[in-house]
Amino acid sequence: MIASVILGVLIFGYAAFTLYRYVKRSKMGKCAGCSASKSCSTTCSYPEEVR
Amino acid sequence: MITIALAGNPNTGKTSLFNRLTGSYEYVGNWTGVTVEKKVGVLKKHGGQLVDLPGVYSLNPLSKDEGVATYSLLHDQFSAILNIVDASQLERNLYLTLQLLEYGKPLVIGLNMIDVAKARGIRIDAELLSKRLGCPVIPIVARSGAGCDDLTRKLAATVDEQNPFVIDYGQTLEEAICQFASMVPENQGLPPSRWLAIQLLEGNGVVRDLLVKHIPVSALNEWMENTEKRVQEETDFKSIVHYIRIARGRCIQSLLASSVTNEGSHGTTLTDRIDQIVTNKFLGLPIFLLFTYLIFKLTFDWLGTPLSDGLDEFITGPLSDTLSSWLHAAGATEFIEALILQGIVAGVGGVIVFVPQIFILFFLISFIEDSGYMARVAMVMDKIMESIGLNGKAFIPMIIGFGCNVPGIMAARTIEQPKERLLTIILTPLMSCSARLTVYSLFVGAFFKQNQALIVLSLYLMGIILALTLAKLFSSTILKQESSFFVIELPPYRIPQLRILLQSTWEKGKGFIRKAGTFIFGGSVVIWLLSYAGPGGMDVPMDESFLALIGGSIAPILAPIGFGNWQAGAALLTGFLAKEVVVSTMNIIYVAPDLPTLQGVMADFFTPLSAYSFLAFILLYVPCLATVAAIKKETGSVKWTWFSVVYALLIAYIISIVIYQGGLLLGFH
Repeated sequence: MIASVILGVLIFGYAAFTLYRYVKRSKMGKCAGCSASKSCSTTCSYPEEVR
Repeated sequence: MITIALAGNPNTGKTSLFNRLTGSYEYVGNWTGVTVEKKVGVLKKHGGQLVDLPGVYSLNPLSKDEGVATYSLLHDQFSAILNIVDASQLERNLYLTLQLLEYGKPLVIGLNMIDVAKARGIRIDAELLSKRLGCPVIPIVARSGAGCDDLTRKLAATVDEQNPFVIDYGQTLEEAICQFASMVPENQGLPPSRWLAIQLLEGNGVVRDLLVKHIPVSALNEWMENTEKRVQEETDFKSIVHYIRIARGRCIQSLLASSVTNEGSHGTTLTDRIDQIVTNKFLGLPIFLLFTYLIFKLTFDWLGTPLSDGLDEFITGPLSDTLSSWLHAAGATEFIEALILQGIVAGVGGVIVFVPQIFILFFLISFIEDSGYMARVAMVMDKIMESIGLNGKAFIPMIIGFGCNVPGIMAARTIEQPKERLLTIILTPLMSCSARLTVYSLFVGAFFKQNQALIVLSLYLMGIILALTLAKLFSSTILKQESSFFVIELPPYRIPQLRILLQSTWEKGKGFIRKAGTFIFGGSVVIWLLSYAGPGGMDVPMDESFLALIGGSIAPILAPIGFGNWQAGAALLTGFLAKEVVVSTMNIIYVAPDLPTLQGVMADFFTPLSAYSFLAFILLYVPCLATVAAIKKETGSVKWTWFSVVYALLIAYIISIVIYQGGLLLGFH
């Protein structure tokens, strides 16, 4: 029973975390989709007129 | 810490060099406009940062991505600039080099593709060129890494300021430049006044925006008008922009005359001979279609399916059995066992089995990209797109969209015309991305065993043809526009290197595996829970679950297009989050122990005709969540974001109804 509770908490916890992060990242749109998202520190911070 | 900007014309190998010097891997494509934002990496050998800027022909920006490069040069602090130059296209590339030299930052030139230049009979005296330009010129081959060590050493040593390169623009303009220098305030950290003056006269909007913060607009306008008038009066030139361009051109000609000898190419090259066939007016398109067909044949019939079947046997056999025995040993409850075996293993495993097919497809796409053929495809498509009044450049975001729609939409920034850009952003989601491939794989394996490649090819083509048709429709109605031009350079054909292919395949495909371990996992857990619980409590029959209720609510609308069951409805609703989830959902709701059984169960709910209608619907109906977010960010408009969702739904419904009802009329079932 204890094993079931631990597994249940781990699985649902991880599932909730991945869904939350996915929706959050998806909403970021271009930065999350950018291949340089990990190494890039600019967050594409240009003023509107050049973007 | 030193920061070095990597600047150059489009398609000169900047990103290849960036990857080589920083040890990172960015998407490399041998066509223009792959890099649309600046990217920052850490230099491998000497520390410091390297910033990869989008390719530009000139510092005077025409499109959004070109604006990014100029803006970054003006506002970010760089210690030096690494200008990468295509040795085989020196004349055109030097135009940007001169502007960068005038800018006055320490500059090192990487003379890339020196091997291609040699093969074309172009001999460049790098030492003499270096002396004339007053900066180091290092011959390199970014792809193989030849000369790159030498380049890094020079970069580390060249951070001292150097005198700006001076082009003689003639007495009239030189006087005006002197006059301008007296207007520019000192100690404001501005670029050299000479450079500012010339860029301003050329109409550089980013420079003008910077200057109006320091100099009154009226003074700037007056100076510009006077200078323009004087140039028109004292020379034969009608415009000052033309005058400056000619002066630079003269300078380039003199540089070329002294340091380049052209021995001429040795007859027609192999590349020329291949191009005569593959870019032929009549043969180009059929050859492209043939290649695509072969790619799908390899992906589905010859290589991919046996591998996927093997993986499926492993997941549903040894893996499930082992997990099941572990769970028994640990004394797990029935709920947890069902969650893991029928939820996670079915949902995640159902998507993972298609990994071999996706990686084979990406490997083949990388092969045609790196061999140089993809650039020809863009050219062949340009001719077709021109005939419907669109720019061929729009096809590049679409090609990128075949991998994932999000970077495809970002790549639309290379398009100068705002309306054309908007049109491309809206239409790119019609390109069949790799996530949708999992759904195709599942269905063609079940219903079209004999013609898997053909069916998938037809879906990809359906996306392209619809995009072109809608482009014509939208551009002649709601998005009327002026036409713009498209320049594509054709790199010589080459045998791709296995290392680059494997790296590129992994980079394209790793996101898919990551997604399976994260989002697909989470999604599977929720979907399973919704199918396990219902208004009547837990462990209800599937038909009375919450998922059946939710899916059933839209099922009546789906009946006319051939799949009016709650299972299809639920799969489509969850598919909005990410299209692979459609496969996870089906694996969970059809509770099948393995792929062949699942495909058998599906035959109870779909006929071949309704399956094809379903596939068309999956291809076209609303873009996934990440794509919708990218559309919103890139268009900056809620209206157009909604438009892209609603028109996609409408088109999907219309096409599916035509397929299903038309098919029924023709006697298919």
